[in-house]
Amino acid sequence: MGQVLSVVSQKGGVGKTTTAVNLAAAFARRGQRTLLVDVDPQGAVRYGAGLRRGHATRGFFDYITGQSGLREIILPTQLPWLRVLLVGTVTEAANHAGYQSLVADTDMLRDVLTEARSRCDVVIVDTPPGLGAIVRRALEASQHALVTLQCEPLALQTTPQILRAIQDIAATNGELTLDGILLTMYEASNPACVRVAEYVRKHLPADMVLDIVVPRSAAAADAFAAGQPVVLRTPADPAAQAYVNLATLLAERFQ
Amino acid sequence: MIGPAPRGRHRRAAGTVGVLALAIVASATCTKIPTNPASVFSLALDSLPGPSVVAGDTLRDTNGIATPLSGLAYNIQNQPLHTVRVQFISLSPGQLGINSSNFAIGTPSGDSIVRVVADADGLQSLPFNVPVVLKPTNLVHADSDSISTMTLSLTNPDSNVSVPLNIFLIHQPDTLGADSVTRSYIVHYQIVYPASAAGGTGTPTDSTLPAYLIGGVGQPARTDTTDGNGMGTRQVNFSVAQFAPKSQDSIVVLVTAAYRDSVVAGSPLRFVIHYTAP
Repeated sequence: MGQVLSVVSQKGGVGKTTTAVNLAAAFARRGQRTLLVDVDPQGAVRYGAGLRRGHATRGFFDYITGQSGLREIILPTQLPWLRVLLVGTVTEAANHAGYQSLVADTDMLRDVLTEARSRCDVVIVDTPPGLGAIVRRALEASQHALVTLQCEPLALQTTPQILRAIQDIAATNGELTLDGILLTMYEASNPACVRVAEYVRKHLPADMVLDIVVPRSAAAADAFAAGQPVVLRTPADPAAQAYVNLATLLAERFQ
Repeated sequence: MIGPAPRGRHRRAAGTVGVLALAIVASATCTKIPTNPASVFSLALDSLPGPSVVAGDTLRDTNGIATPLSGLAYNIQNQPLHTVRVQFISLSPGQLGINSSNFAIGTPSGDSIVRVVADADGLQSLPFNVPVVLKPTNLVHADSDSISTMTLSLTNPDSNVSVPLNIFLIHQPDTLGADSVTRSYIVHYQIVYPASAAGGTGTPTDSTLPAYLIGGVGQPARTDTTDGNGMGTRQVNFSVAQFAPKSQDSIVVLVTAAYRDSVVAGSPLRFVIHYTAP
């Protein structure tokens, strides 16, 4: 059985989708059967995962509402071992409440992730920000959680909430492990950023904050704008290297 | 505290230089992306043909045929590069050797989980595990009683699932010494009585049968791979509506394990489940 890793954060815009997309590509490029699942109704994965032109826009939402079968919404990418399940047409809706309650009130997310786990080495789930029902449902069906934390002051105030939530869910999901907090968009030249990173490392248990740090990088932004993971578009970029190293670290833990 | 303004400006200037340097590095490294259609861009590795390698033997598929590790390299256009050789490398050669044809061979002393990587023109895969296990010599019941009794229920699905049919796969050393177990090894379960339930294939279609074997999460499954304690297990799920009211009979399940062309001593093990329909 493969492993399901949910990428979570309390706050939006902290590099969650970028992390999910690049980790998935880093795993797949090096031979792991990987499925990237987007359950965030904002649906940003479709912009950065390297999907082929003219790909289907249906996804998880369309599956759980009975409009699509799983086979037709698992999308290929430029990597043979990477498949993507988008969140689907819910991204076009103004109101996501129906989608949220459908995920919250059923076991369909768990069923999809369990099925995916039986066929893949790694399943990476990109979740919406916060601690809503979708995130909880994703964590309930995961073996691993990764918290992304942007090195900026507000992040410090929201981190304890997500850690408490993971702790709560781990009480009922005995398989769930917090793999660590990943510092993202790190700028060594920005004193505020450095201070936040130091504060986090000082006040959280040493093994909770990953040594690997993802630097802010123009190449990463360019890659996302070009619709590709930076680990494929600019493999030597420091952000790409960070994601490759993180995949290597996690692959060791997953075994 | 943020430093005084002049120093801050200096830092910003340094940062700008840093960004410029980064941009130069990035543009330079862009040329290193293997856009040549003959260059390796990604790897796809095939699943292990079997769950483990027996110590002193070659990795074999589920039919017992020696099978090499395999994978394929792809270029940036996602086209397979059939001429590029994918070589597998054992990270614990004292436990598992891999020859030039990618046949994995467990050393006689092997009993561990070995990490293996693949390499194609310098692109290395992430490591994956290949268990090297002791040769199975005996199949035994894990629990003292191989006969159980059930009262089926129309309202309580939990009452329609048998007790776990647990077995141990044992390795008895040739010389004097404590028995050990064989981990990560396939064992086969089969319902042999009644005939109406004997056709199970371990696939979802089994759920139309009056009784079928299931795995840990309730899915139809006739085979199991022994766990870290050498234990295998399946349960029988009864489709209670297919049984005549108040009928009483038994389900008989046989368990076998084979090594190469021979069944392991103790095979087949027999489990009997007496049931009473509601």
